Amino acid sequence: MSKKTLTLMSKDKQLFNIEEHLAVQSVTIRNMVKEDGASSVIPLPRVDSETLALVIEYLNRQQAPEEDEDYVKKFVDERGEIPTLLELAQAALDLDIKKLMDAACMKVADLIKDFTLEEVREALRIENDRTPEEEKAIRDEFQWAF
Amino acid sequence: MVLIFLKLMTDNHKRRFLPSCGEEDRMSTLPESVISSILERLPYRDAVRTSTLSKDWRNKWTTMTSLVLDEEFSKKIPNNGAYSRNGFTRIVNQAVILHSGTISKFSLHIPELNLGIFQEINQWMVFLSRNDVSLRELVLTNSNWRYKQLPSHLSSFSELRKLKLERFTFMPPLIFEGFPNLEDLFLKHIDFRPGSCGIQANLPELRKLSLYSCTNVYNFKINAQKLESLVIESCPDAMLMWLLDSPCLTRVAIRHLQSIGDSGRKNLAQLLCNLPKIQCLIIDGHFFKLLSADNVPKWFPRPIDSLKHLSLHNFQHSDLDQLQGALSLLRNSPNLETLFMNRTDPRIMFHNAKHVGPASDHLESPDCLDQTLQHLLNVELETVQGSRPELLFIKLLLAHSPSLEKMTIQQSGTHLDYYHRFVITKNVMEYPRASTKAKVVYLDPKS
Repeated sequence: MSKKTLTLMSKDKQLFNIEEHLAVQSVTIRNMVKEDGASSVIPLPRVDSETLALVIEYLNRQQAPEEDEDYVKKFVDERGEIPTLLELAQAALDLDIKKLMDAACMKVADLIKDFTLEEVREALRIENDRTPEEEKAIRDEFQWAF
Repeated sequence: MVLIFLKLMTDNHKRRFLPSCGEEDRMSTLPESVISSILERLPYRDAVRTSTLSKDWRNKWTTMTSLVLDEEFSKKIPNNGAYSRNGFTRIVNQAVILHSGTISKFSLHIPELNLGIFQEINQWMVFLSRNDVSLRELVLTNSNWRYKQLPSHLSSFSELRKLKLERFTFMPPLIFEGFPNLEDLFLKHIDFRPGSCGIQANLPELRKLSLYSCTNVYNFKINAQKLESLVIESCPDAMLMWLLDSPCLTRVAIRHLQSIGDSGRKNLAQLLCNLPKIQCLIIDGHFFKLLSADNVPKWFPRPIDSLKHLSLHNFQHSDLDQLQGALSLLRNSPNLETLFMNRTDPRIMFHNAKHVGPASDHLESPDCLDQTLQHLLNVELETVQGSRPELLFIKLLLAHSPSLEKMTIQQSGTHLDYYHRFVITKNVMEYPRASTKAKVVYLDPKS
């Protein structure tokens, strides 16, 4: 009996095949499979093809359970660019793959903790809507942190 | 300041007038759960700083579910007194009072302060427990040399799963009555005050217990039927037999014990036969001496079938009690897969023929290990000094292990010159090996 394969479609309409037993590490896919057998293509409208390729690579890993933690850490370490990690985190959120989401967010936190505030804003796509006076007031309140 | 302001203005200005295609819109917002997941993982100080990022971010940090004010954090606090404007007490007060929502982890390290900060701790505990009793993990550590009394209010956190305490004294009332869900308990430098008539702790869900350098442990009696992992290190008066009386134990590590406090004496065989699920055993040579006083029987009442990993720390091959204990363990553990041995005491023994004689004689007697170690795959020997009993022990292992895949020998660097190290290598190469695929790996001494 050959293993059952699922097809995932990225936002830019690229198709990716993955064995069902590996794909169901994603809780989202697991629920879809349970509901309708997921015979057709599963569309992932918010995940681009580059990110989906990474997710597939992650799902296809063949690690012993005791080495999995290290593997996940290394997997995100090797993709240390913040935009990539954020895309990965969002994809993991959509697909409900907790380990990957946690690891990607951990890595982002690790990277931005030494950033200046302006760099954090840029990395996390935040627009500064405060006046310098307001900002100073907060800095004064938590003087020890700055 | 003005310059920064102008720069920020132009940056914002630029951003607002960027062509807004679909791609840019999507890029501009991150899902809330990704944001909070990142925020959760920032050190506390960095999380507080995010309050200036934007209006949206003003209070995001106050909802973090873990509040970690650990040693790392306290080191970054300018040391200008606990109660000064930016003092430690004020900062923790702020953290506790401003927090909203649930806290699942609270970690607090008390830096060295000669002030009555310990009264505050109890108040923080009261405050936290009033707001929210769903705390899952609590860490309280203390770097002041003098132990402090444990905050009595701890027991109100009935949902605790994980508790770590360092440098405190336990005093009645019995704080351990209130943790029906505790799974992991880590205690370091804890004094269980004598005169407390014994703390009887019922911890029905406890899986992992670690005791490091605790004193008066005989006052601490626990009932933990689900305990799987037990670590006891440098606790001079631990009630070992009491602690080991948990049928689910799979991993036991006992090191640097001065004596076995329990009155009912047991030997190694009785002890291990009481642990039907033991998989990993980590002990030191001294422990054999404590348990071998009653002479270890050659065969245990039943084999220790479950044991897979054995580590013998600070083991002296030349000590007959230790040697017989180890051989007895090997003989009675038919499924052992890995064996690790080292010695931390670097004194050279092999010149001292008086001590070495009986051990060597024992190892050379034909029935010293009349059992094949069928499943032994991996042996690691550290700080090998090349004494005669050591070499005979290696010879014995190689001859009795038909499945052996790898034996790693790391020679002691402290007292061995190249010539002696070469002699060890030469000797080991001569020994017949029961396994055709066994490779012997020599590692350079640790510098």
